[in-house]
Amino acid sequence: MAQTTVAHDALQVLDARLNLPLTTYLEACTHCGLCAEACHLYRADPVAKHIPCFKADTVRKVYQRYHTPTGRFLPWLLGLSDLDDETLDDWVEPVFQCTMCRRCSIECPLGIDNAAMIATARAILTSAGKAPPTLMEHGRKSCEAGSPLGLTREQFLDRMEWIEEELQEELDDDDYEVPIDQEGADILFIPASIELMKYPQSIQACCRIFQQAGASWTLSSTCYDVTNFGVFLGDSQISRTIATRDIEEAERLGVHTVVTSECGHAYRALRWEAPDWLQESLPFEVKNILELADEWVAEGRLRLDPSANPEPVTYHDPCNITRNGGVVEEPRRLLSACTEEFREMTPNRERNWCCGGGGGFHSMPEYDDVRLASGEMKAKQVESTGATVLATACANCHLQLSDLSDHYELGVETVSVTELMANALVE
Amino acid sequence: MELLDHLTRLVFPYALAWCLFLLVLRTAVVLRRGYKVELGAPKGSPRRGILYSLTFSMLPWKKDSTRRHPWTYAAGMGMHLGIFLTVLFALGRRFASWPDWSLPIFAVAAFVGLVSALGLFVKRGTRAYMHAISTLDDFLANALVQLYLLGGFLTALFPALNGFWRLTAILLLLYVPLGKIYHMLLFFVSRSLFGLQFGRRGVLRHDLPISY
Repeated sequence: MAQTTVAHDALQVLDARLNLPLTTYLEACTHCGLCAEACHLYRADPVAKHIPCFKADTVRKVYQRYHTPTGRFLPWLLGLSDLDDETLDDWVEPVFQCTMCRRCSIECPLGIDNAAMIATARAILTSAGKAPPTLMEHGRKSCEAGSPLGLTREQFLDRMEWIEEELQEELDDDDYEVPIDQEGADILFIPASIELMKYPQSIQACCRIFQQAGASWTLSSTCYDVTNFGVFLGDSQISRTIATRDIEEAERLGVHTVVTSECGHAYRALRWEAPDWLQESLPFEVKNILELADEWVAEGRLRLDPSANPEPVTYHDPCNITRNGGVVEEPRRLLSACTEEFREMTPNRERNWCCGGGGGFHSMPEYDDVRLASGEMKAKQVESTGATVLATACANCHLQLSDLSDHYELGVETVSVTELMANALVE
Repeated sequence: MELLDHLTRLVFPYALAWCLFLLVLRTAVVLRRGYKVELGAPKGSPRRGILYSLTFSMLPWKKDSTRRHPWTYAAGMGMHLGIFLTVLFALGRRFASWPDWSLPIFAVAAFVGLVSALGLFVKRGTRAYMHAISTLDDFLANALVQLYLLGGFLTALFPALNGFWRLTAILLLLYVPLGKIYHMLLFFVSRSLFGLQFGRRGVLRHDLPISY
């Protein structure tokens, strides 16, 4: 069977990723449709392009057409046709209007990971040069400049100097210094550029937590952005390049642990996926700041006074921290310890509704309307708790939740968990 | 009827061989892709994740979708239970005859399965969102299952219709390796992979203390 050039290129990307899990997910879907209402995008706008298995069918149909006997000899039975340029154009909206939150996997009777197929579809589109331009640009900047937002070393150092001054004032200690490039430290802390540029108070809170715990830690002036846009593009090469930079810097500094800030996808990428991209175990531990803070509170290295945060607080589980990362109970224990009234949303933990800010959505302004509409389920969840403070542990979620608070007039203050913690720290 | 019984007796082994051969081939293609264990240090137990995934996580109250669509859940369960018992009925008849008292039970099981499958077929055909994700395979697979369940139901009541039932079984066996019914084998692989990853990452770990 003759293949089009488009199909040939797409198959090269697909074949490089085909393993037992992906092949199983491509083969096993029964189109039962139960994933539809598990998706916040579909719930907000019930159209076909938002049904998770419809999105996954993009790449599934390529697999079936070119890799299965039924697809080759009876394509009409499975509704297949040859892959061409126009078909790829049709993929862009369904595939990139997805946060890859994997809530549909939890609901799927077969446990199918639609996000794995959507990531593959994104990889095919990126390879064909059809990914949204801003997302591609951020991926390029990540590789070339070390930050998707173009944050330079000088800007980073400038921002950290400002945070240092703030902390000197807070601690009433003119000698306090934020450690940078300290070889032999135990911990390398890598923040995300969104936090540095938009939520420096979150980074300040992390520094305060390290200081209070008496930790041996450092930042890096050459590796200061843990964001990994390769994940959003489905581009393994970009993912590997960014992860390798983090790993090499950790090795150079000789740290035992790399701690990611409250950045969901970055934690997932470095903690769970980087070892597989590079096909080697990492020579250090990777932890989210909340995992470490949780350990320190349990050990008595940090003490918290809940009366410092008297307002009712609710917590949004970032998909990449919770459902995809396994940091589930840590933020709950921390919030219960540092606030007077912690209220759970329903549903929560691995069944939590995605806020709509993940999957690179914030870097695709052409989909802003869809992104805001998709947060409807989350807005309802937040509203029903009656909380006035909304805590989360991911900078992308933070951005989206702030937007949702304005858009749906929720009247909640959006903060990071570390900010609440830092506010409640006692000597 | 006798001619049909005779002819289907002749053809059935070939249909079975076709089905088994292609199923083995298709499964070999899937399995040869290979599985690499995630290299990130585990946070939870993969074994517990798999166990949970194959058991409690499928209970109706564990999923939003079943709460929102209880009839779909019931139909799905009814259809699969009906298929399982009808196949059991067929297999048992190969080696011995079922006692008379059991025949109405199999008839009811096949009927429940048939009605459930019909309900899912109608849902697929009438709901716009189901239509958008459906292919001919989705309808044909369901229709062949319905036919097989109808054959089982009628044969449980009227044993002389065995030839008709065997014909439906032949059609089903010929189709199974070609379309989506293949999920009957991959169901266990897929759910195990789900449990493995979520368990390993500690996502499904609900045994942790919730306070200090």
